[in-house]
Amino acid sequence: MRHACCLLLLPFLAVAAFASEESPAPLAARMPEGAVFYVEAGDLAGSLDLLWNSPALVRARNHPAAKALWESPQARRFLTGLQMVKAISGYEPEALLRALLGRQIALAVYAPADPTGRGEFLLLARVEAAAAEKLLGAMRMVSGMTGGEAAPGESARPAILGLGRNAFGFVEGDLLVLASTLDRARASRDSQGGLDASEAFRSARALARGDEAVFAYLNLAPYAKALQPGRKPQEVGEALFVGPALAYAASAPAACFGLTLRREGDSVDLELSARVPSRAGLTPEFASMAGGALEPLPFALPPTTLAVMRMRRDLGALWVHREELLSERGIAGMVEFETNFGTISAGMSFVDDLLPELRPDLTFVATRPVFEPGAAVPEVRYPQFALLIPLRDAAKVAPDLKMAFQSAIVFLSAASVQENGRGLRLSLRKHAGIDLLTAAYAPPTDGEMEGRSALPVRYNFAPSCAEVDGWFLMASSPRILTDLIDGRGKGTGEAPGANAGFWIDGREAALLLRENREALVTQSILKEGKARPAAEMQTDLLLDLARHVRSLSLVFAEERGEAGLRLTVRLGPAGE
Amino acid sequence: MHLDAFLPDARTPWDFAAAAHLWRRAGFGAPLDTVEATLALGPAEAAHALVRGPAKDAALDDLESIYPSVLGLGGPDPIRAWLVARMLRSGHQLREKVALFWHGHFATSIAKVRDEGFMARQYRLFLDGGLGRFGDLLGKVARDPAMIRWLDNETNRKGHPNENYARELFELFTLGPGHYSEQDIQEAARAFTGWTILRDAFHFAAPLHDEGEKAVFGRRGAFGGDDILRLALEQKACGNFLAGKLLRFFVAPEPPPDAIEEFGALLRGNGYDLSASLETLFASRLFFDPAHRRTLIKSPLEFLVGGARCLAIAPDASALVPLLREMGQDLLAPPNVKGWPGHRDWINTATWMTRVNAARELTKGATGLGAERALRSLLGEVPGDGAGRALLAADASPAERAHALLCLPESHLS
Repeated sequence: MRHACCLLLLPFLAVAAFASEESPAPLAARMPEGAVFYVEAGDLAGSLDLLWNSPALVRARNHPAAKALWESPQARRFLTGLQMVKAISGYEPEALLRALLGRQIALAVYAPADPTGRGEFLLLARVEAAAAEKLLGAMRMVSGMTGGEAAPGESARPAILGLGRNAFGFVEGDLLVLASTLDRARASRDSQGGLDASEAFRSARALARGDEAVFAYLNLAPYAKALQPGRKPQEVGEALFVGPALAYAASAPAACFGLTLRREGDSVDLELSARVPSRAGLTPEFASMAGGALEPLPFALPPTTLAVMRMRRDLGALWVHREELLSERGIAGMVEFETNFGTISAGMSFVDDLLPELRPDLTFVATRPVFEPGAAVPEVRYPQFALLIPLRDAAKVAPDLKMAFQSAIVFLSAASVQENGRGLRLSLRKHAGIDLLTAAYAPPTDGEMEGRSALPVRYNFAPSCAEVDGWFLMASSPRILTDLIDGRGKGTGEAPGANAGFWIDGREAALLLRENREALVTQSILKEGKARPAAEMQTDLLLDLARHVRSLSLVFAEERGEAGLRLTVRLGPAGE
Repeated sequence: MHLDAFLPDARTPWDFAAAAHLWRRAGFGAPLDTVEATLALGPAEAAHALVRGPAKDAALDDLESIYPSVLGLGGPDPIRAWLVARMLRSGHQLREKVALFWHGHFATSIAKVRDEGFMARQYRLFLDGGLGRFGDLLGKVARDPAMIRWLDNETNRKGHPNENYARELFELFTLGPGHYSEQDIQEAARAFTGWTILRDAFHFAAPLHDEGEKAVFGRRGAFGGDDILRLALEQKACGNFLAGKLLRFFVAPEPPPDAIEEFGALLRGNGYDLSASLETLFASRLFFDPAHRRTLIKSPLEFLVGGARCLAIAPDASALVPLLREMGQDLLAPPNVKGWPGHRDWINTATWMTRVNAARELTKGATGLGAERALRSLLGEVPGDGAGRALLAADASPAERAHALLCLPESHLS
């Protein structure tokens, strides 16, 4: 174990004692063609500093629960391994890491030569020269104990050292090479152009912005069969959410990934993006169902909005192209829904009457629940949800949808009460001149509250609906609807070209977690058998960390000839 | 006499095996150190300590502190997990074991009750009053909303009596078949008319109650529900019926008839005081008779909870809930009004496989206990040349060894 640990760290130990004065060739040029995956980083030390010193990680490092982790057997084994590395290299681990990541490093993964074997890797690093000879000496020392010289050196070609059963390496100028097989090490030593010259790699490289701390490439060819649009999603949800992204990926030769770190005032943004060329684009079926950019939302989001999901999806087109876009199981699911919808909507046809009336933007909003001051609250507070659907002709279809909503509530309540469950009571009220249909549970009885310190979870739900300015809104509570109604005409725009997106407000998420602290402590005591103080400490660490996540967003967009997913996490000082 | 105090001798010494037997039966098993500490006590003092429970129990205090939150999580599974966690960690093991006994005795299922709050409140009756007087518990269970709903007493009203509760009261809760007549049931049912639920709590609806004269067990009067409970407790059959069930749960699948008579007389004699009766039982010759050891097939709860306790594994209590369900012991959902049949019914070709798989789930994180200690803790002794000894010699990880130990036939016997 310790020996393996040393081997893994060896690539970081060697330093270029013979660093060239000239501008070095790209590392990808020393990688043989055929890599399935390639990742490369330039000077990472600054980026790691940014992360390491971000308020969230500082807080996490200094938390008693995190410190306690260093007492675990696994942590002790890790520390022992680091001591061995230090003994061999003469570096303090942190200083070593900084020195090694300060210039350029790349890793490529190859499919195994034998289909039943393991994948192969090749790791290259350009390093500073300070301790090169000493570290090369360390490699030689390990080689002497394990593999010896695996391939002799020739003029201008260094010897390849065996460093164990699955590790071979050499140093050439300022370049350290470590490979999982001797053949890969040889191929790298002889490579001219290599991966850098391949068309798929170049197409991915063209999508890079140039400011990435980490650039990665994935050759999609081996996955094309699995990704191809002909593979039909099993469920409607899969067709709506991941189907279009997979269809884009299936049309591309390679994907480019990038990790970018930026400082914004007192915050740090981490952006992970995945991009493919969109010239091949979507199949006509996917394009009609999921193509195009989102329209701006005409509502301001509620003040306690926790998450929003928006997507440009035409459900009518999904039904029209169901044979191409859905598996038989998915189609059966839609047909079953159509039947159920017909039952609760007094004969209104989901396919003929409703789908043609839906405009293609779907919006899903989740908020932190807000209760009136002094009101009883549920023991566990669930987020409140709303689904916002734009209608083509609201005057025609909204009354039928409201009737379907009432029927559904009555059906559900009757079924529940028949089985000794609880029923919902319907009521109608107005807010800012708009009719609001709401269903709520009766207040709990003294008997039900026996042994409880707060309301049962069902009091998180008071299903409600309303028609507002041509939009049909359904929600798990009336509060989220009244907030949306108050925010009419105050909406904001979308990211350019955004086709689908998901956003989380870290501050609201942290507040919701904090409001559910006791439930989290309970889970920890029940599941992990922790004593209350330990469970509280662990929960508080989670809550502390959550306070540092300012926001998270995931956006799928198509613009300027590329289609891509962008995940952005903003870390900052703790919110209150 | 069967209930005479157990006096250790050369044939039946007070040794590790005897102390481990006490923990397996009066609890769910115990870690090695706990069993060894019990050895330092005599059998009588050990039985007394088990009945009394520890003065301070931090683990149980933590679990009690989260009870409102567990109820608030919604659904029956968090409550099941909480109950399993109690069995795993409570220092007062007998309290948990007796509560499980009453859960099987007054078998009520959420499948019909449909309210986890009702079910939790009923189980609390067993935890809080399980070691008290049987009459008190019987009275509380008769007023328990879960029981009222389970046996349809909500529809039991004057002029239209529903006999379900009265029938099960005599047949399953107090007397057993053959000790009452159909007329006794019909008349007793009239006495329970108007015992119903209002606003999720017991409610006596006087207008629905039949105040007329009833004839039960040859006695006449304008009996109400409490009178019927009292009359049932006065029957000699009640003591013997309860004694038989307790002995089958704690001592042997087929206890000697005269032992049942003797224990029944003890129960009647001390007013059905469970603590006093069980203390006598757990310090008796009958209980420690080697012929009764490892004669009961462990229930899934005894198997998993006991395995975890003996092997010093701290499992996720909520992860055990579905495993227990697969093995046939879904807490809060006994199969019918008779509860779990137990013993031989726990194991068949299907549940055996689920036991083996559940044991693997339980032991996959096992690390600490040394092989010798694991074997001794789980089986109570080290077999000289048996399968357990062979396992010690095998080249296996602690998790693999713990799994293999749990798959030994002895591990399935209490």
